[in-house]
Amino acid sequence: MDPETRNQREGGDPPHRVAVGAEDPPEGKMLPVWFFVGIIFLIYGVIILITGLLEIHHPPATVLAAELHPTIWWGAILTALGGFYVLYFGPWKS
Amino acid sequence: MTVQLLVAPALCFLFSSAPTTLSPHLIDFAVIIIYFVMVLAIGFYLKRYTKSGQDFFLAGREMTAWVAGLSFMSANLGSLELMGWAGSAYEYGILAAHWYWIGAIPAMLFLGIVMMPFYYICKTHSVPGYLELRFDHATSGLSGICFAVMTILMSGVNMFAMAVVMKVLLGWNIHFSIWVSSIVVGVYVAAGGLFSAIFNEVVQFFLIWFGALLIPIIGLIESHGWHGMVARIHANFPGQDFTHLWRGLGHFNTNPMGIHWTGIVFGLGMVTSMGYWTTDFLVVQRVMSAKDLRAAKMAPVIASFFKMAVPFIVILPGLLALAVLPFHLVPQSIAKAGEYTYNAVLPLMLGRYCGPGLLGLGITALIAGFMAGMAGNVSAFATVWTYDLYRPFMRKNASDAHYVAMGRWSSIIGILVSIGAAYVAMRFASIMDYVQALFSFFIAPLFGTVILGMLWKRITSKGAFWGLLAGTIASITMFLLMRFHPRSVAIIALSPHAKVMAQNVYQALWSWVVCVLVTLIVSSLTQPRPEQELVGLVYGCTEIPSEGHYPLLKRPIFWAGVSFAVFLLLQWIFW
Repeated sequence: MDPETRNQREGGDPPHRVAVGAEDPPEGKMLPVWFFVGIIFLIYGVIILITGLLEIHHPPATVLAAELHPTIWWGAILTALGGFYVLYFGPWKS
Repeated sequence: MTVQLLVAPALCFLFSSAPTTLSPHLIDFAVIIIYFVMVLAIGFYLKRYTKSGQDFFLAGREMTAWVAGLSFMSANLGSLELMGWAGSAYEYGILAAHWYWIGAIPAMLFLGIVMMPFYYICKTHSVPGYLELRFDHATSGLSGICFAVMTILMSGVNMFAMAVVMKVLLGWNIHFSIWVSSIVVGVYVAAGGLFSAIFNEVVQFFLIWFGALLIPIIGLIESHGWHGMVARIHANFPGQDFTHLWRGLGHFNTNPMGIHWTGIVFGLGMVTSMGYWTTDFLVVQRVMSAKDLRAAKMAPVIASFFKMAVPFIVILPGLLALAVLPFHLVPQSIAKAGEYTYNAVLPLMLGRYCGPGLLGLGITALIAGFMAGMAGNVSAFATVWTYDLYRPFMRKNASDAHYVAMGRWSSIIGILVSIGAAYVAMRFASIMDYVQALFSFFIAPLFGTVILGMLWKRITSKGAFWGLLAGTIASITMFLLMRFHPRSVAIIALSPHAKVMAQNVYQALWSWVVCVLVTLIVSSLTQPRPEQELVGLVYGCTEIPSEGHYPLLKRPIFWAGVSFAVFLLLQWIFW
């Protein structure tokens, strides 16, 4: 076993720089992954919701069950979920 | 689930002569482009946090149980998996769900509760790294070389698969797809290492679910629920049983897969899945990034709940296709121009239910799956190359910064080699099919080596090395025998009716048996290491921290029990 590996094994837990650092590092505290999930859901939700609203009176003829307007309610779900994640996990949350 | 069991159908899809399946609108392309921009932005954002080797190769060991668990799932949930298994569900019915339930859940729980403490306490960076600590350079090097080569080839095949799927679905140019997807993956993995791979995998996990979830929901509405779907399947395919998990497994010829329950339980449940979920570094690396031992144990347990739910977005669309499609899909071997093969199930159902915008989301889900798989391969390759091959065999005592730089370069080089492999796959598809199969066959004997080494202190380095080598050679030999001497199928897979999936399962089982026997025999003839050198590595020599001080709802063992109970319930419901 090489010395570096042995040191790794015998060393304590690594410093949780981002998670529990007493002071934020110069590069700033890392945003949680949930914030990124929120951003992409919010963008997609808005796009899909608007698309659904625009085609509400003439849904695509090639798609089955278009009368259920899945584009609208799926877009609304994504928007709501994305909005919640962005608000709750965004950089403005200390 | 495991690679070899899904790649064959997926590769068939690649060479299908089926017509272009989907007709996306401008808004769908906008959704796809936003996805590419987003993953690159995440990679560049995380680059500033990726400074040490621990950051680059193990994401700083800062991941919570949820992030590590979702990433663990996502690395496994590639698009080859999604489309291949949806096609398999059309071909074999609900039997395909075995690969998500008995072929995953017990192994994931075993990893979390039994094996993870050893991987985590010894602070290894990889599975070959564990073998180095437990045994020696030879065993670690053998597994590292096999893993590195096969991983990079696998990444190339993924890349090619994605490109051809994009061509079939959208009519995109193959070269454009290969280069764009690889550059994006290469840039974000080289920038942020495992941090970036994991963050993107979590995003991809949500995209895959929300992109694919509409198909079963609207499909069940169209079919008037589960019972309506079953009735339609019986009407479309009279006399065939596509909706029972275990009922047809009493004999080889009473189910569409040609497999016996012993193959499912012992071959799939005890060897193939255990090997894949507990020793394939591609997935295990994600759990090693957990911030503490409890998180590392919880991550696979959390992932097991999602894994049990995946058949809802993969297997159910295949069953719904049996019920609602007005035409029958055909196997690749007999497909004529203009006909759809089994593996077109998911795109067909996507086009059936998703209009503009939602279609873009569904396609993005498939692209996300490919990229998650590719990034998983590349980041795992970079770690194994740098820590298990470059450091021990080429440059032992370099600085941490040097190894990080090597990790970044090996990510880029890995991507370039993968692109080369993708072009090789384009010319010699059958060769690449074999290469992927060999990758998976290596996993079964590796499981034998790791589990024996972890649970029994008497196992020696020589025993491990020769057992691993013998198991791997046995696996390759059986594979070639069954391909070139079809009569041997009846001996190896116990039935001449065994289909490819059944053959793979029995092959894995026998190669594991060979590995274990050779390891035990050689170990009994050689000298084991002293016990004090095995602390933190072997059961019986290691003190596992107690969970007693945690409340019940925070204990991994409690949630593992809940997960196993749900697993049993599913077997009973779909018996």
